[in-house]
Amino acid sequence: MKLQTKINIRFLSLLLVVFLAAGIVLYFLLGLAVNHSFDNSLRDRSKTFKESLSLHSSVDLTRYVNDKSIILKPVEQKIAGKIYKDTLIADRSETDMDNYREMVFGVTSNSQNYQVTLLLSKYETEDLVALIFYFMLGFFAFIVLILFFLNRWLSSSMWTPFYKTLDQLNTFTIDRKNNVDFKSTDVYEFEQLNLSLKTMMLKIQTDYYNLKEFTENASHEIQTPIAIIKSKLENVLQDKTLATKQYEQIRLVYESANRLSKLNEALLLLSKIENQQFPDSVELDLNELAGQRLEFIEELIEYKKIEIKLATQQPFIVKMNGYLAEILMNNLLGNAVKHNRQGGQITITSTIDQFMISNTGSPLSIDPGKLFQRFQKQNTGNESTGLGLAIASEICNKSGLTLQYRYQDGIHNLIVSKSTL
Amino acid sequence: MKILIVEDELNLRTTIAGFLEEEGYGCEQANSLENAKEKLYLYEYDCLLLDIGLPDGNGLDLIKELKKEHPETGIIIVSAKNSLDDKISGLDLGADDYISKPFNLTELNSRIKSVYRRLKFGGKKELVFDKLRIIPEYRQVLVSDEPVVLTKKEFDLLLFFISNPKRVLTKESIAEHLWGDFADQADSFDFIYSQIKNLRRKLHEKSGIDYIQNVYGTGYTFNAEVS
Repeated sequence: MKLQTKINIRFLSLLLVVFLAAGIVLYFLLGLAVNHSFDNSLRDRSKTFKESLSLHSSVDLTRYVNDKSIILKPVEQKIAGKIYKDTLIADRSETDMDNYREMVFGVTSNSQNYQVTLLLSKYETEDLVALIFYFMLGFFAFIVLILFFLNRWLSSSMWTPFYKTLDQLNTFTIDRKNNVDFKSTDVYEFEQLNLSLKTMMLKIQTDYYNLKEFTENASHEIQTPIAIIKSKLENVLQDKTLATKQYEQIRLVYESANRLSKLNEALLLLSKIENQQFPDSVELDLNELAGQRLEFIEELIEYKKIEIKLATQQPFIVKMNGYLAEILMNNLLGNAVKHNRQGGQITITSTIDQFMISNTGSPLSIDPGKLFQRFQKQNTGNESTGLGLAIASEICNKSGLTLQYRYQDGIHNLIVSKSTL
Repeated sequence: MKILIVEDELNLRTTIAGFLEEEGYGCEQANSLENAKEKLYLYEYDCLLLDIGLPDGNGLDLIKELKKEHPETGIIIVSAKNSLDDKISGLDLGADDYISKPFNLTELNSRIKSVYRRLKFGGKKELVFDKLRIIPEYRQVLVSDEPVVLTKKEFDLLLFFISNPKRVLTKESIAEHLWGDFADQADSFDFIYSQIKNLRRKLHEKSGIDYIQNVYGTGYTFNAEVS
């Protein structure tokens, strides 16, 4: 729910409660005011009644008995004081009850005590009160409606800078140097927010770039010293006067230098792929490429006595960098050969929307979910860098493809499919 | 055979020069593009090893110039960048080969020899080593004048050995020579072992000489003396 809507709903429901309470209070106040004025006129009438009674002491009180507005009742005890109250009296047709205000007091005439009840119909004033009440309700509703729209208009114009900031955040990408630019606003809080966000985003971007640059420069600068180490060691290895013990040690150093060099090359390649330094893309058929690469490693496959099976062979056309495609295929095929058993099988299935390399081999010893992460190795003993599939996956990611792994009936399947974006 | 090494890293330059001099080449060194241009103006070389990431400019500019003046000078680009663009543009400009850092010296040696053969003799030169005769152009091998049938990889292996006789060729450099980028994708050492065994057997059958010796598990040497 939008913040504006939420505020608006809260505000209006509170307003409704307040108006409702105000309405009820108003209604009662009106009632009290009406009673007060009725009581006044009743008192006036009672005065007139008493005055006329004292003027004409011989007045026959029974004269009033049939009058609708005065009820006389002879009583034993003399009634002191007076009582005002509401009462209901049936109307002439006796189907409805009407609201009356009555005043009860006592008089004494010809040594006979009477209870006098003066009645005044509230029928018309009640209508007026109701009218005023409904009018007020209507007025309140109108105010609520006006406030609703006013509020909406006001808050949407007030919150505009906030939503602009939100848009900026949504389109923010760490690896693209889109200039972080917030429109300035005259609201202090928003200005502060924008300022903090801008500082933070620029810092994140700078950090990210520095880190990336560092990785790239580091691997790049490391290449030359490694080249020197390797060639010097190669020279030393040519020396036949070396003692076996020393030779053995130098051999180990040489092998480690080689591993270091390969690791470094692989990391450099990864960072280049991540930086998208292979922009040129061409349309090519991965299946055809697989055929070419298979030919290249023919002897290796023969040596391991691996049987190549070609299942469905439709062209799998992708648009990607040619060099990366070759690396991808090398890594996928290399993986299928390396982790295969002697006399195993490799099946290549290519359809229009996916390309799959399946190979026999012992089950994974690592978590399949981590297969495409860096430095995940089946067994740490061998000389692989543990980056082959990480590179393959990264190439796929950057080329609009998805690389997936599935294990089924003892067969490892690596599936390249087109990303649905 | 005269080689000019253009490389700004002193240690690497002297290591390469030392190795190539041992191989019997005449080596000259240049540490910058300017320096290299000077030397190329004054002397003629059979081969130029050109690092293209020089501090005073991109070595690629030099290639076109040199190939116009001296088309018979072989040019091998050395790059730390391992970038395909450099490789393609370098070869387009007329460079003869491309090798990326870090490389094996024995690999470099065999590349130099191959470029030299191609440029001077159009690849038609026969390589003779003891009882072996190799005609690279036809990928043919004669042992004691009898043809021996080798697989593609066995032939590449033999040529690599003949280019670097008496040197220890490490397993790693052999793998890289045979497989290139693919070397680290598949465990190829076992495969190399079997290929060498086959090659050894085939050469031994016809010549009676065991040319290939194992060196302490590091690699192999190719020798004629030992029988």
